[in-house]
Amino acid sequence: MNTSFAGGTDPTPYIAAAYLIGAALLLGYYAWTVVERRKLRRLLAAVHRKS
Amino acid sequence: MTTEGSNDGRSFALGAAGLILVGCVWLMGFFYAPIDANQGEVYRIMFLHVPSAFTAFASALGLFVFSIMGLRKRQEQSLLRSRAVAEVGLLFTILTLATGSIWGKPTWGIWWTWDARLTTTFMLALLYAGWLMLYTSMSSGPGRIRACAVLGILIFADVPIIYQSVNWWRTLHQPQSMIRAGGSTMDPAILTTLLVGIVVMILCASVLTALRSKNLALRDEVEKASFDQMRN
Repeated sequence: MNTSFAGGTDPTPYIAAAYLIGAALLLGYYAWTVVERRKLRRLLAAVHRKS
Repeated sequence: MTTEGSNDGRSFALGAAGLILVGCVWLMGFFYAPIDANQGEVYRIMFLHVPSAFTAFASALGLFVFSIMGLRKRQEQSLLRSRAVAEVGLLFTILTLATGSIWGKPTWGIWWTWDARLTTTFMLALLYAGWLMLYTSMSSGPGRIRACAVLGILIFADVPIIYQSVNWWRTLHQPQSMIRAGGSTMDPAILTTLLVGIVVMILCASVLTALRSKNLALRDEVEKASFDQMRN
């Protein structure tokens, strides 16, 4: 299997970096929305309880 | 479990399903698509880069639609959706630029150049960031709805410029190979993986936008409830 390109450059670190950044961005944003939703639900319940 | 809790659970499950689908398409890019005759293995970054770019464009279309709705109905709800879609659009534009740059180093020998396609895509990222700054810097009301809607429409105008940039200015970025007159020049397995990737990534972005949009609406609800409580 041809795994080299552009004068013998090993593409593996480049491919790994691209997909790691992609996974981190997508998973990070999703996880942030989940955590934020739970926090907002708790806040809303607390505000309603107080009133 | 409360109704809100079960609705949240369904939304989160949908988001997780979207992400799993994206992961499946990436695996398809590694195990189904053949190796590229000219570029070798490094071309597999395209299965992340191209769908991200199309999703950034689709987000601009979403922002355009919500901006028109905002101008017509003058509702804060359209603005919340616009904010969510602008955030997701910025996320995918950054991903497009990052993956393009990583692909460029072993292929072109450079991380970055002020090529027409790269520059116009960088402009899209700046425009999304500018939209978010405009939103946060203005107080709520019809003025903010109007200003954000006008900028949202202008952002969409950048999309055809990005798309046509490789035809209008012949610089470093290669011309279109997927959608072109006379049919695609790609191997059918590569083309199928790319098309499936674009559809799945846009679906995933739609779910992320819906999740964020709901959070923004909830935050408004918390603020209003707190304000009411302080008044009473």
